[in-house]
This record gives sequence, C-alpha cells and structure tokens, in this order.
Amino acid sequence: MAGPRDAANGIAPAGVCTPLLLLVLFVAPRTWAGEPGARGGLGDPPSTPEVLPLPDGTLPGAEALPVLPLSQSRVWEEVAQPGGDADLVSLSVSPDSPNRWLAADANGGVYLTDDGGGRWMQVLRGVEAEVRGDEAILLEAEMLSADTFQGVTAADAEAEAEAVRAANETTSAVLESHAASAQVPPTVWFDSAGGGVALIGRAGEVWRSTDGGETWMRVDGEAGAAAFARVGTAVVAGGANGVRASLDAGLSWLDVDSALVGRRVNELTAFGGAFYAATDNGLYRSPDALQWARVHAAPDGPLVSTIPDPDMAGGYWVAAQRGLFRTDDGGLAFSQTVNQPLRGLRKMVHLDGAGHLLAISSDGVWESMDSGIRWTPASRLLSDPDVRALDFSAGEPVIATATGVWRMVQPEHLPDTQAVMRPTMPMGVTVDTALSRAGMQGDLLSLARRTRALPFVPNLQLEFQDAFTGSRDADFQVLTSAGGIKNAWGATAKLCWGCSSSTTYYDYNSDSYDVQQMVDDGALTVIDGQVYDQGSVVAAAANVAQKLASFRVSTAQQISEAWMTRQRLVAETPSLAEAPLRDRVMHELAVQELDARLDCWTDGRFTIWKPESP
Amino acid sequence: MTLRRLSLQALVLAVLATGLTNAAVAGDFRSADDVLAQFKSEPTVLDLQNMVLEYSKTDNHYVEAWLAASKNSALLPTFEVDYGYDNGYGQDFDYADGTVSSELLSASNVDLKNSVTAKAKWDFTKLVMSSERIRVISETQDIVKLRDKVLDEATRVYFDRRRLQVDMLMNQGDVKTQIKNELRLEELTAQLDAYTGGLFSRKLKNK
Repeated sequence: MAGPRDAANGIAPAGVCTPLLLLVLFVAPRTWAGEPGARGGLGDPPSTPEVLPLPDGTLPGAEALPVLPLSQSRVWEEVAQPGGDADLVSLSVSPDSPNRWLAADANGGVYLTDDGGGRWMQVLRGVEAEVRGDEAILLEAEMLSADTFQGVTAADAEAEAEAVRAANETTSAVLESHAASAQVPPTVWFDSAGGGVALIGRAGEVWRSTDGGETWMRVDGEAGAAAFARVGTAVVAGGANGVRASLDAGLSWLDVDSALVGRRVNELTAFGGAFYAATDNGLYRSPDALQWARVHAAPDGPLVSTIPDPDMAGGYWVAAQRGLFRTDDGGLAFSQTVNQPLRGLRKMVHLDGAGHLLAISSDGVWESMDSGIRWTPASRLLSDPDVRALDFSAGEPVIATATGVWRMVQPEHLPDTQAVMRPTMPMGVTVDTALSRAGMQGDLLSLARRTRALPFVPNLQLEFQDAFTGSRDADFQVLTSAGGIKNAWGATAKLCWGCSSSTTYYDYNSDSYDVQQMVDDGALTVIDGQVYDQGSVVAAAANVAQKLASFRVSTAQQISEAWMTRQRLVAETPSLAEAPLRDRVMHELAVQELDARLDCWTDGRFTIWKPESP
Repeated sequence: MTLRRLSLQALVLAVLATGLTNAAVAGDFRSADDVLAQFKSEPTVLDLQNMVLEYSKTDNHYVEAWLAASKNSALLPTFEVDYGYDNGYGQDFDYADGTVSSELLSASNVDLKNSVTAKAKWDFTKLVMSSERIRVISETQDIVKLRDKVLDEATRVYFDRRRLQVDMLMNQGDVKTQIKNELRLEELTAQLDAYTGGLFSRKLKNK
C-alpha cells in the first residue's frame, strides 16, 4: 500500500527516509523530554511518566494531596455548543493558551474557541463540503494505473494482460487505502511544542495551521491520522495504516515502514524511554518511533490507551475494550486488573495520586482511585454520557460529547453529604500505603532489571596464607649439622564472573534421592512448596512475584471496598440526625470499625492522616 | 453441679445489678459520643491491635528485619580456615660390610611445616537475587497475610463485643436475655484473649 503512493507522489520510499529520520531524531534535542515548555496532554509523549496538575491547579506532589476524588469534588458544566448540532469526536487544548480549544465533528468540521468555550467559530468546513470526493479518488487511481501501461504495445498481449492486472491491483490499493482512512474519525491536535501549530487528521487528509487554529492549509492527502504525537523535532501520526512522520512540524509527511504497516493506530504515547502505539490489534513498542515491535505479552484485540504509572518503574496499564491490563515489569507479563470492561471505553489517563485513573467512554466518565479495580462514575451534572474526547485546561478536565463540550468545575457549594465529611486519607493514598508495607512492595522481585544485572556481578575471593617451615640436617660422619627456619605469607584476591553456580552431580543409578539432604546441602531450595535447583532462581522469583501480584490486587480490592463503604456511611451521617440514638451509635461504631480495619492495612496511618496545608 | 449452680446464680445477680445500674443511666444519653464514652475505661481498638501484633509476632519490624537480613546476609563472606602441620624426618645409614648388623647412622634430617590458610568468599550475585531472599520474600508475604487476617478478625470481634455492650447498655431486656448477652460478652472477651494471649482481660482489669 505504501509503495504506490510513494512512487506516485515523489516521496522517498520508507527505506530511504528511515536513516534520515533516525539521524535527525538522535541528533536533535528532544524538547518534549520533560523540558520547560513541554505540556502534559493527550497524545503528547513525555519521556517521563506524565503527572497532571491537581484539580485545584497546584503542582502534583506529596504536599498537596486531593482530599476527595474528582467524582466527589467536581461537577460538569456545559459550555457553549460549537456548530449547533455538531456531532463532536475530538477536542484539543492549546499549550499556549488554556482557553483556546479546537473541536472536530464527525464530518471533519473544525471549531475554535478563544474563551474556554464561551463562543465558537467554525474554522474548517466538513469533508462533505470539500471538493475531494469519490471522483477525485478514482481519478488518482486512474492516474496511477496509467503508469503501468507505459512501454506496453498492443502487439504484446502477455505484457498487456500483465499491465491490466497491475493496474487493477493499483486501483484496488488506492481505493482500500482511502476506505481505511475514511473510517478513522477526524482528530484535532495542538502541537505540544507550541508556536500556534495545530494539525487535523480527517478522511485521508492532514490539515495544518500555524496561527493557533484560525486558518488552515491542506498539507497531505495520502493518509489521515487518528493520533498525533511529538517526538523530538519530529511529529508522528498514527492512522489507519501505521505511523507517518513529519520533520517540519506537519508540513510534509513521510511513511515509516515498520511492523505497524497495516495496523490502525488508536493512540501514541511515550514514557520510560520508549514509545507505545495502541492499535486495533495489540500493543507495539519502539525505542525511536521508527522501528516498532509488538509487545507479545500485551492483550490482543483493539487497544485504546497506554497509561504510565509514575509511581512504579516498569509499571503501566493498557486499556483495552475488553478490560484494563497492567504490567509491573516493563511489559514482560500482563494481568487483568479487573474482569469488568468499561462499556465503550475510548480513552484513559493517569491523574495525580497513586492508582488514580480517569476514563471516558460511551457510558460517561469514570474514575478509579485504586489502579482500576473499582470505578466510580464522575459524571455529576453531565447530561450526555457519550463522551468522545478528553483534554485538560488549566488542570481541569474538558470533554467533548456527541452534543457539546463540557468542563469540570468545583461547585460553589458542595452537597451536604460532602460538607460533613471529615478529612479522610484518599483511597489512592490508602491503597498505596497498604501496598508499600514491608513484604508487599511490588519492586521486591523486579525480575527484568535484576536478571539483566546477574551476569555482570562477580564473586570475590580473598585468600591469606602463612606458613612456618623449619628444618634441621645432621651429618654424623663429618659431625656437622645445619638448619633453618622460614616464615612466608601471601594474600590473593580473585574476582570471578560466572562461577557462582556449583555443579551438582546426581547419581542416576541410585534408586532414590534424599531430597532433604539435597536441600540441606544447598543443591535444592524449597520455596512456597515448590522445589527449585540453584539454576532456577529466576523461575522461583517469577512464581513468587505472581503470588505477590495476586496478593496485592486482592488487598487493594478489600481496601477499596472498605474505603468506599466508609465513605458511604460517612455520607449518610447527616440523614441520621433524627434517627434513634441506638441507630446513631451503631452507625458510629460501623465507621469506627472500618477506620480500624483500614488502620490494619496501613499500619495505623489511616486514622492519623491529615491533609497537608497548601 | 453445685459449683455450676452457684456460678449461674452469681451471673444472674451480676446481670441484675448491671441492669439496675444501666436503667438508672440509660435515659441520660444524648448523643452517640455519650454512649461510647461509657467504654473509655476499656482498651481501645488500637491498644487491641498492638496487643495482637505483639502476641502473634507479626509486627512490621519483624518483616522488615527478615527482609534486611536476607539481603544483607550476602555481605557476610564464607570463611574457610585451613591449618596444616607436616613433620618429615629422614635418616641415612652406612653399612660397613653389607650386613644389617654393621648399620651405622650417618645423617638425619627433620623438616617441620606449620601453615595457616584463611579464605573469605563473597558471592555478590546473592546481593542481586538469591534463592534465600526469594524464600524470605515468599515467607514475608505469608506473614503479612497472617497479620492482616488476625488483625481483621480481632477488630471484628472487638466491635461485635462493643455493639453487644451498647445493646446491653441501652436495651437490657429480660433476665434471660441479659444472661444470654452476658455469656456472649464473655465469649467475645475470651476470643480477644485468644488473640492477645490473655492480655486483653488483664488490661480490662487494670483499667
């Protein structure tokens, strides 16, 4: 598919452009790598895990923890609706101005606001109103097919038949390419590098603006895009047929020949020194956004998002339509955090606090404070649950639904149930505290890093020797005797790599093994009822790590249940004001019991927790 | 049989006495805090949890000590000390006429050797990962599970007991109910004693 397009448009084939791209990417400074000016937002690829500002606008950090989750402290407020009955599918907030937003509808119409949704203006008409249509696509296919007949004479029937077949294939390829691109919904994206550059991917085209989205120019008609991301000085776009790259901020585009060709890319992210593409069938990883390899342990099927865990090196989530999966070892193994998919999941991001996730779906906005085990609807006052896009403006979530744009705000008056809530350790912090106890830390058995280090670690042997030698000789014939004493000492230091394992000989002729004796001798080890030899340390660690992961998940589940029950009970307190005294006492005891249980899991920190003053 | 009857009579008398006392104060409570303040003299749930941790030896510092020891043990070398003692001697004889009887000691030599060798070996791979450490990590998980389970159970029993106390305080019922409640209270107290090695009851008496 990429070949004919390249040849027809004079773009260098991917094999040629790849070295050039590599050179530029490695030589050029990577401005997105957490440097000043970089912005945390959807599709932006920071090299370090993305940590978004707190809802109250303060910087994330231990000194400013949210007392309440978003679902309890924020409500949705609808802003002016762009384009009347626009069927919005994409939204992006400018890194230069938090009140400048772009929104795209399903037809590719694009709207711009400069005042945080107060007033919208259409800056690009929808695809149906544009000239390009089926006829233009067929014309392109015809022009490409005409090339195949060059030099073919009517007398050479065999060559003519071959040319006809090639022309048919070319036409089919062009039509399929455009059909696939047309299935990708329009997307708008502000360049995280700022400077007023914005891009639109729609119906097999890319449009570009250099004035913050006010005027647009069509820069590419070869393929659309479902996701954009900045990678150093290049911009990468993922679409219906893998990824493409631009070295001039989206002005011209080159195909990247990689394992992603033929895959639809739903989202591009970068963290931990690697790039991740969530595709229609599996997760792909790349060290440079050019050479992509499939992460085989990741779940199959359509993936929506890849979310880094800033609290754990090598930990990240993969959001699939069939559920949320997590890895703690950089992608060597994944486990499903909960077998309960969010219906119509479209995107997921990580917020402040350990395990704090926010997801948008066709069923509203959902929030989890415990790494995705329990989900709470964060849809208060949101009348349209069909949420299509999510971005952040000054730290507050902004969403696009089918019927409009909504922003999250803190209500002037919290509901009564919240007013009576005493300061409570947030669920994420509670779970994190419990899972950080001695014996529960997930990095105890971080296999990937440790096993890589093992071959480079030596054995050291120091040896000291001291010898005293004395001798005496007597000759009785000449009546002489001689003797001497000698004291000698020496020291040796020896470093030895790869000599740590000893060889164990087994007598296979023997009828039975004395396992206990072998355990006593150190040849075998029994861990958790399983017998391992000394060469199976990694396997043993993997088994124990699996057990630990399961225990952590189960503990987090119990804690989140207790935490949520406690919140519910506390919220019910005002309604019990007129209840019989016995009921009030029992209610108070129920809260105290949950406090005590949460104290069990947090070594007593739950009840003494106090929010830090800002 | 006599003892049992006497014991029950004592229990009934105690229940009646408690009921009279409670009846006198039941109407004075205005809030949940007033009611719960009646039990201030008893160990708090935090006291109980500390007792449980102490008795079950599952406190966090045990686990931390295990993990630290399993890691730091690799810093200690394997020692090997060899001592060698060689005592060699030899004698030369001359035989004047080739017979044994003409044997004449002509020379002798003695060689003595004392040697000491000390070896210390460090296997630094065990600082990275070792089967011993993995086993300790596995065992500490079991300890944490045990601690969570024991603490959770003890906490549940503590609050069951407290709820029963509140019921007994606010709604005495007839003598039969009071006896039943008193027995249940003793049962729950005994369960807490089982988790704390009897320390809970001792603290009750002390306070």
